[in-house]
Amino acid sequence: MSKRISKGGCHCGRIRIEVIGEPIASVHCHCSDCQKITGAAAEAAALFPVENIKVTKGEPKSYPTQGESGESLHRYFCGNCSTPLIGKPDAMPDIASITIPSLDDSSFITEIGHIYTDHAASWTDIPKDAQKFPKMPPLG
Amino acid sequence: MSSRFTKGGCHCGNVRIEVTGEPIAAMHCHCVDCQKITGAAAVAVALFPPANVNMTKGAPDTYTTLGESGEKIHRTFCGVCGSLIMGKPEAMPGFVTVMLPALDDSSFIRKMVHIYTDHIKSWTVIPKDAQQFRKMPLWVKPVKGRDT
Repeated sequence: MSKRISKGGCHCGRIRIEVIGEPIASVHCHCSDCQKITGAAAEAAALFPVENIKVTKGEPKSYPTQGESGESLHRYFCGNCSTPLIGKPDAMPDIASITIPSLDDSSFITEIGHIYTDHAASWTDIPKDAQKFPKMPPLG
Repeated sequence: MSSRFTKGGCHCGNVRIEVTGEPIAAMHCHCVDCQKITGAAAVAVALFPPANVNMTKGAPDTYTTLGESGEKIHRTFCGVCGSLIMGKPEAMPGFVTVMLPALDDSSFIRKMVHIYTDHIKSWTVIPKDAQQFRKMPLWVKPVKGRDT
């Protein structure tokens, strides 16, 4: 049984990634760091085992923010087009995230919850029946 | 009567902006370019007259895409932290966009609409009572040469 291989990358094409398998979870993250960096209500992220995410072309820039744990979250983005690509939290070293729009085809992702909704901006539109977590829910 | 004065900038503080007055409109743009460049379902922006938005600190980078019109959209971001800050669409010179999270306090933003909703993905749900436009609504579309 072969695993899904999903390709993706940034808008300008300088950086390409590959992701193996299905996500552990898919979320819209409303934390204030994700809002400010993306310029959006929430970052759309899919979490995978860290070994299932590879950069296959180019060298992303990295910027650390501080997670709620107090540990660093390293955010990798394209220095040319600003596209955020990969997140690596020191607090959960076995897991990494990719931004869902970076995938060439993200149609296999359908179930998606909202996390850190405690921090959602006043102008955010979350559908009434969406799954919401005030902070990060336990995984697995 | 003084008008609203709002400060903002990127996550790391290298870039700072100041915005005066009220926005022309506020919208979530779901176009494919905005999705990919933000890493989100949609970018969240407020539109202001260009003269009302000033960069007060920093030398951000710019990335240029082509809008549906075929004309350029210049997207300003901080090269250190990757934060998206502003957008300037050449086809619509009557306004520039400011990303709402770039504002220190965006709580004055009330009504938002959703645009380019034709392009939403399987993992995006727009609330049923939200105002949606398949493309750019005509009431925010000054035409170059006619209205400016």
